[in-house]
Amino acid sequence: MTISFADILELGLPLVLDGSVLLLAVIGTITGLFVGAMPGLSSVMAMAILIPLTYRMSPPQAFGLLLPAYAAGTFGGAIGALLLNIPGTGAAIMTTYDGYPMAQRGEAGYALGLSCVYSFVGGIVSAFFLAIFAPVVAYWAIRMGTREYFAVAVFGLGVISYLSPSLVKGLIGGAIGLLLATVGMDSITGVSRFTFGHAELAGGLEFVPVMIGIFGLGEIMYTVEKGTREGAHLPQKFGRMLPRMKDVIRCIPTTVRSIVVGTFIGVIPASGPTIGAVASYGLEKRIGKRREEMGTGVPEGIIAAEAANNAGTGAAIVPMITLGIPGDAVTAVLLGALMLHNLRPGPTLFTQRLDVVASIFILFFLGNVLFLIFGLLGARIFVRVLRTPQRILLPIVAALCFIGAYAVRRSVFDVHILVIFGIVGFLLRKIGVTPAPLILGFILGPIVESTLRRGLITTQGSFAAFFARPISAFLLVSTVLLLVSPGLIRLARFLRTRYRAKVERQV
Amino acid sequence: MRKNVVFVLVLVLVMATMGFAAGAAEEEVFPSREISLYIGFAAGGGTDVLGRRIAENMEPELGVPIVIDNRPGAGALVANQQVANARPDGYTLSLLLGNQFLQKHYKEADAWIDPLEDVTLIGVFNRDAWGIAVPSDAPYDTFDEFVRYARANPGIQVGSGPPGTLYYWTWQAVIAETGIDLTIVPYDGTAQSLAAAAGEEVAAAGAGPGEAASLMDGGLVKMIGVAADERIDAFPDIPTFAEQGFDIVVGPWRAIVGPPGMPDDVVQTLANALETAYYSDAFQDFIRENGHGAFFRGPGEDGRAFFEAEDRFFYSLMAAQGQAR
Repeated sequence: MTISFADILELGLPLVLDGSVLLLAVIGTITGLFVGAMPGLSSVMAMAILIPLTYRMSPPQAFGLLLPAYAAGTFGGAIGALLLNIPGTGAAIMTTYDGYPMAQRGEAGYALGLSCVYSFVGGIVSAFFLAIFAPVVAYWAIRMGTREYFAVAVFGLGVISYLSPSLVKGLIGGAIGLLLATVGMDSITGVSRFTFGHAELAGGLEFVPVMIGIFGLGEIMYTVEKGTREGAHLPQKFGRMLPRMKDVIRCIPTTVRSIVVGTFIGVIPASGPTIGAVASYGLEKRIGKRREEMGTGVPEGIIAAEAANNAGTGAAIVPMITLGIPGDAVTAVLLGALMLHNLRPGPTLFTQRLDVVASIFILFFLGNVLFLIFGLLGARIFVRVLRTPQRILLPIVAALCFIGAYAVRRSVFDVHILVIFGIVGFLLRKIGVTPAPLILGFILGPIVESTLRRGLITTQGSFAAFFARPISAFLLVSTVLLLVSPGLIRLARFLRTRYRAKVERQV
Repeated sequence: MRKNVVFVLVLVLVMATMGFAAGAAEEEVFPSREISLYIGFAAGGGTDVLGRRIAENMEPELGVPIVIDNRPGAGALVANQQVANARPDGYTLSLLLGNQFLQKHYKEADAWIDPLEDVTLIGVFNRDAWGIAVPSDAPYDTFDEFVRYARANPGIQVGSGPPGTLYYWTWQAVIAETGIDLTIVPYDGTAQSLAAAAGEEVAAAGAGPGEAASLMDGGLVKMIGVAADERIDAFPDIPTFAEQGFDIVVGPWRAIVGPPGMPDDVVQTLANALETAYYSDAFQDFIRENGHGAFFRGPGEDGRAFFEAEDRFFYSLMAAQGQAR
C-alpha cells in the first residue's frame, strides 16, 4: 500500500489532465469559495448541492468537483469571519478572533491574504502528508479509541475557558452551548431529552441554523441596534495582501505548530478540521510568543486557525480513503462518491485502482492551488463588501441566513430555530457574551458526553483507565497544564520576587 | 397602508390562480407532472444512493421526472411524517426504512408514525443483511465459536449504534436467539463501531458486509456471519447465521410509500413502475456490485404480510427487554 510520487504523477495526471475535470475543478473552487464566504450558506449546503451533480460523472470528474470545493470551502469560511465577524463554516469560528479585529483596523486585505496563503500552506503540507503517509497513518489512527477522542474533545473544551476576555462570560457561553447540546435522543440510553415530541429535535438541534442564528442574525441585530454607520466606511488599505517577510519568519513556529496540530487531530477518525482549529488556536494562545496579543488582530491568530483547519482537510481524507472511515460530514460525502462508482476504499483501492487514488491526491493538491489563485484575485472584490452601505448589506446577509438555515434539511422548523437563536445571540452580545464559546460548547458537548459515557462502559467504570493510554493521558495532562499554566507562572514569579526580596534583605 | 392592502390582494389572487391550476391538473391521467421523492437522509449516503438509483429507473416507466428531495432528520421520520400528511395524489412519496417500526414500538421515542396505518405502501425494493465483524486476530472465526466464547466470558463488549437505531436492536435479536450475556456499547454510527472493533476496543461490531468491506480488505476485521436467508453474492465466503444453526434474519430494508388514502389506480401505476425498475438490469447490477441485498414486495398481500411481520418482530424484541411502548 505504498505509493511514490512518480506513481502518483504517472497514473494520476492522465486522469486529471482532461478538459472536463479541470473545468469542474474551477467550478468546484468557485462554488466552495462563494458558499464558504457567504454568511449563512454553509459548506454542508455546498456539498448537498454538488453531490447530486456528481452521480452521473466519472470518478475523476466527481472528485474534480468535490475536492476543490472542500478545500476552497474550508478557506472560504474565513472570508465571512474576518469581514463581517460571521464565520462561513464551523471551521472558521476561530478566525473571527484575530481576522475581524485586523479587518476593523483597515487591514482587511492583509487579513484575507494571510488567511488565503496560510490555508494554502496548511492544505499543501497536509496533501503531501496524505500522499506519502496515508497507509501508515491510517493503521495508527485506527488504534485511536473512545478515550483518545474524549481527551481531544476535553482539550477543546479547555480552550473555551480562556478564549474570552472575561473568564466568567466565556464560561457562561460555553455552559449554554453544552446545555443546548443535550437536546435530542441520548446516544447511550436512547432517552429523548427536551424534544417535546418534535421529530425534528430527535437528532438534536441542527448545527447550521444554530450557528448562523447566533453568529449571523445575532450580529446583524446587534449592529442595527448600535446604529448603522451610514456611509462611514472604514478606510481600507489595499496595498499589501501577501504576507510580509518579517511576519512569515516570526510566525514559522506558529505555522509548524498549527499544521502539526491540525493534521494530528484531522487524522483521528470522526474528528475533523473544526476541532483542529480550536486546539491549534488554544495552544497558540497559551504557548505562542505573542499570546498576550492574541485576539487583537495579530497574524499569529489567523495562521493558527487557518493553517490548522486546512491541514485538517487533507488529514481527514486519510482514514476515509484507506479504511473507509470518514473524518467529518464532508469526507462522509466523498466516501459516498467513491462507493457510488463501485470503488471500495481500502487497500484494494490502492492495489487495483491506484490511478484513482493518485488522481484524488492530485485533485486535492490542485484544489489548494486553485483557491490560492482565486482567493488572492478575488480579495479586492471581497473587501469591497465592507464598502457596501450597511442598509443594503445587512438585509442581504439576513436573507442569506434564512436561505441557508432552510436549505440544509429543507425544513421550516430550522428557520424557526434560526430566528430563536438569532434573538439569543443578540441578547448574549448585549450582556457581553461572545458567540464562539457557545458554539464550541455546542459542537464539543455531544462528543465529550458520549465518549465519556461510552469510555466508562468500556473501562467498566474506571476513570483511571483514561490515563492508561499514552495519547489520552498526554492530552488530558496537557489540558490541565494549559488551564493552570498562567496561575503557575504567576505563582513562580511571585515566589521569585519574594525570594529576591528576601535575598536583598539579607544582603 | 394602502400599499399593503394591494399587496395582500395580489397575493391572494396569485395563490387562487395556482390553486385552480393544481385543480385542473388533477383531472388528467396520473402522472402528468413531476413526482417528489423525499429521502430522509443526507445526499451521498447509502440510502440516498439506493433511492436515487431506483427513482431514475422508474422515470422511463412513468414518463415524468422524479425529483429527489433530501430532508434528513430523526432517521427519516421527519420526511415520512411530512409525506404522511401530504395530499394523497401520488405526487409526493418518500423512502421508508424498517427503523420506522422500531420507533413505533420503542418506548423512549417520543415521535413516530405507524407504517401500517399512516402511509400507503408502494413496494419494498431492497433488504440488506446485518452481520457481525470481529477483530481479525480474535479467537473465534465463526458465529458458533463466538457464542461459545461469549458463554465462557459473560459480559464481553460489542459495538452497536445508538439505542434508538436498528443496529442496536440487532444485537438484542442476537441475545434473544442465543441467550448469551453481552455488554452493548453504543457508538454514534456504524463507521465508529467498526473502527472500534478494528482497534480492538470491543470484541465485535455489528455491520453489513458492504460497510465492513474496506476494513476486511485491510485485514483489520473479519466477518463471522450475516443475518440473511442465503449468502450474499458479493461476499460468498461469509456464512449466514442460519447455516450455523441460528435463526437471525435482520437488516435495513427500503420501501417507497405515499400518503394514506391514495387512489388504487395511482398506487398500481407507481407499483408497476417500481417493479419494472427493480427488475431492470441497471438496478440489479447496481445492487449486486455494491453488496446490497435483493428483495421485492409489492403493495398487495405480500407487502402487507411483510410489514405486519416486521411490526411483530420489533414489538416482540422490545417487549422482551421491557422497552416496548
